[in-house]
Amino acid sequence: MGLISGLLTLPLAPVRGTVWLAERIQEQAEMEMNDESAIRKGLLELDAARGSGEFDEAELDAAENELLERLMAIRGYGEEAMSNGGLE
Amino acid sequence: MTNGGGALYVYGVMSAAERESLAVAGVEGAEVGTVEGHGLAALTSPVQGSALAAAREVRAHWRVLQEASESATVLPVRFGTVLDDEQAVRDHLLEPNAERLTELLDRLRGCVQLTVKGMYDEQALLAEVVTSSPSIASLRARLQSLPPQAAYYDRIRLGEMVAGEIARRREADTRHALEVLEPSAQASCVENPSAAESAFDLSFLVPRAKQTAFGKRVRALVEEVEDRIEIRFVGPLPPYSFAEGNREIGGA
Amino acid sequence: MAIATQPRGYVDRPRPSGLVDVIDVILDKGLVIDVYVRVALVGIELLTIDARIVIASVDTYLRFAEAVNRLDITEQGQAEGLPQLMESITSGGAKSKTEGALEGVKEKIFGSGDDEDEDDDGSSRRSSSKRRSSSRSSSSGDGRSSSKKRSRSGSSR
Repeated sequence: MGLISGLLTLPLAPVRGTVWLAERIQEQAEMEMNDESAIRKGLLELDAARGSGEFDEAELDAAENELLERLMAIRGYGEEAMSNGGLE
Repeated sequence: MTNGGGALYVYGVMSAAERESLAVAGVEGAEVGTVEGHGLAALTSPVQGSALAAAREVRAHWRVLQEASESATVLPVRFGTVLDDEQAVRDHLLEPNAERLTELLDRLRGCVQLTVKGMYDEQALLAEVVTSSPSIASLRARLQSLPPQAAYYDRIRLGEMVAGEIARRREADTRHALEVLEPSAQASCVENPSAAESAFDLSFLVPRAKQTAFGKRVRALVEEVEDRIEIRFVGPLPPYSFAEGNREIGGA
Repeated sequence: MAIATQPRGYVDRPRPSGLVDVIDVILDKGLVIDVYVRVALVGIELLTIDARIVIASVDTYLRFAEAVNRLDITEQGQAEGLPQLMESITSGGAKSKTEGALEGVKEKIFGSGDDEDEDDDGSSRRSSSKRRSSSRSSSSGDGRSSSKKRSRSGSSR
């Protein structure tokens, strides 16, 4: 927090270096978090829709699968990660 | 029951004495078996492992764990774990960690994990925060008369104050939920909030026979807080939160 | 404020649910087998996942400020919230809210076929999916539901 408010007081020219990098990392984390929070909300909605009985099960499953796979991608479950030896 | 000579997907570890054959199909639709050693049984199935990053396989992974957990205590393995072969399961999982895993299973035997998550209604929460805090209300009022681009730091300050109030309420609600639910549990675990609207996220280790009593406490909590907090009651699940964390165990 | 609650099918047991409640533990927790070294029992979060904890950041604060700014607070201190919320309350409470949530699902998942995360700023979905606190936990089943858990586990006892 102190880092970012300090940055705001600097002149408007872009600041590179570790501070700039720290900000970019923070942004990336937040972007991912936003994606994830959107995915999560979608999953909750699908869960509620399932309970209502108003939607076709197969379509709900397919939609849920897609959201799950996006979440998995964010968490690093790609093709390489699935190879022998587990994740680490 | 053991698998053949190829790569094995690993679901979890249980006591060999509790092993039963499972009817449910596993990852890639394969039959689930075990690799045993040192009184332990690793749940496994033969796998190619080339397309595991799919929701279908996550569901299979979960079904296997659920099925096995109905009658046994299973230490769950992280999704996506594949070892070279049977020998690798013994060399890298069972042999070097036999004592530790056995100790854990002994501690957790006969219990299940039940999770209780509370979520705020965001709008009601924010309104309550504003109306109960004169300083927040007045700062908000002042900002409303300004254009959106103005008073950047004041807006940050307003948001920070609101975040602080939410954090206080979250702490109080978490504490209260624990008070209500803990008495029926053997152990409890507080998770960090996963979203701004999270009121609490609690996991409990509950003896199988005590699940109904625990459920009654959950109902009591729901009735108490339902005008502010929506509760999701989840379980039984394998003891994800009670297999002690982050300790290195001897390798091979 | 009188909040219409959904009919409760609540019983004392957890309900079977989809993966939304378990996906986090499945992906983030459990034994981790480092084939070259050791088995680690993962109960605490790794560094990268800390980002998913509610971050105290400028961005979060600005969002809170914006959210409270949009509230329409009546003299009784009740929030009428965003326009969609007002509609749903005046036209029948919980049922409309559910419909709103389901409409949200239809449009966003099945409707345009456009699932780009970038197109979803989350705010409209947030309001329509917020269910007034009606707790869900009905079950006749074996309780095959699970919760997602993340972040540090601080245990007591």
